Amino acid sequence: MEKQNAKAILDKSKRESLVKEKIKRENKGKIVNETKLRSVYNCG
Amino acid sequence: MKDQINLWLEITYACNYSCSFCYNDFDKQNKGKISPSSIKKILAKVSNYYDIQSITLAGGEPLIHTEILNITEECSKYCHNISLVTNGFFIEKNLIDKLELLGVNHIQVSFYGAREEQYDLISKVSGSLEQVIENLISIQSNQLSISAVFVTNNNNFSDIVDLLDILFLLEINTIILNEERKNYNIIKDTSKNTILENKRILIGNVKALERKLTKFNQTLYISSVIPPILQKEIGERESIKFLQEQNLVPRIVVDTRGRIRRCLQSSNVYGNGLLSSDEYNISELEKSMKESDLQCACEFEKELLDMK
Repeated sequence: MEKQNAKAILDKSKRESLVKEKIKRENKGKIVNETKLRSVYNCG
Repeated sequence: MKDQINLWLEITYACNYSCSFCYNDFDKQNKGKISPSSIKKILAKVSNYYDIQSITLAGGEPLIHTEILNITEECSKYCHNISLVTNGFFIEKNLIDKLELLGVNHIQVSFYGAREEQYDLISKVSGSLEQVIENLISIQSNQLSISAVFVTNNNNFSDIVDLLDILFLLEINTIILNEERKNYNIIKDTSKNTILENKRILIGNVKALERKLTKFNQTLYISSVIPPILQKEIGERESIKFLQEQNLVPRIVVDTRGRIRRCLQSSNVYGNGLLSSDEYNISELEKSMKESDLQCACEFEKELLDMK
C-alpha cells in the first residue's frame, strides 16, 4: 500500500485521480483473479 | 451449555465530540468511566452466565480512557475477539500496536460525511475528518480489520458516494449505514417492510450505489434500528422472536456504572462474524437489507447481575 496523504484524499479532484490509480494498480496485479474481476464488473 | 453473547462495554462517557445525535447523549453530563478492577468483576460475573464470544469497547470515546490498555488486558483473559468502537480522532499507531498485541482485532470507526465543514459542524471539533483520515493512514500496515459506520441524516446522506471513495483509498471495505437517533421518528410503523421501504428512500439510486460497491469490492450494510419506545409497541417477545429467527446473537451492555441491559442484534456486522468473510456478490446489499441488523434496545426485565 502506497502512503496516502490525508489532504489529497480530502481534495475531490486529487481523490478521483488516486481512486483511478488504485483501481488500475490493483487490477493489474490480480492476474490470478481475472475471472472473478470480470464477473464482478459484468454484474454491474 | 452457556448462551453465546457479545459483551458491549461502555467504558467511559467522556468524548471529544459533541454530536447532537449521540446515542448516549442522555448521559452527556456524566463523564464517568469504569475502572479496570470493575471490568475484572464484570467479566468474572458475566462469564459465569454466558459464553463471551466477543467483547466491544465503546463509549463515549473509549480511546479517551486513560486505562484502556489495562482494561483491554483484563478483557483478553476472557476473550481474544476484542473490538473497539471509536470516532478515530485519538487513533495513534503506538497505542493501536499495543492494543493489537493485547487482542484487539477489529476497529469500527464512525464517519459523519465526506465534507470537512459538514463534518466539523457535527463533531464540533475543527479538522476532525482530516485528523481521522491521517490516523487511519498511520495504521494501514496493522493486521487488525477496520470497518466504518456512516452516521447519516438528511444533510450528509449525499456524501455516501464520496465517502466510499475515501474509504476505498483507506482500504476499508465494510461500511455500515446508520441513521441519526433523532431520525427514528421517521419510522412509525415497525414492520420489516416499512423499515426497508424507508431505507430505499434514503438510498436513492440503489443500482448506481451497487455498481460502485462492486467496483471497489466494498460491502454496505444497511442498519435498521428499532428504537426502544417503538420496540415497546410491538412487544419484546415479538422482537426477540423475529431476531432469533435470523440467528442473532444477544448483546449484553454494561455501562460505566455497572448497569446491565440486554440488546438483541446481528453479530455479523457489529461483531466480527462477517468481517472475516471476503466473499462478495452483487446481491449483498439486497441481502443485507432483508437480513438487516435490527437492533432492539430491549431492556431486560430484571437485572442480570447485582453489581452492588
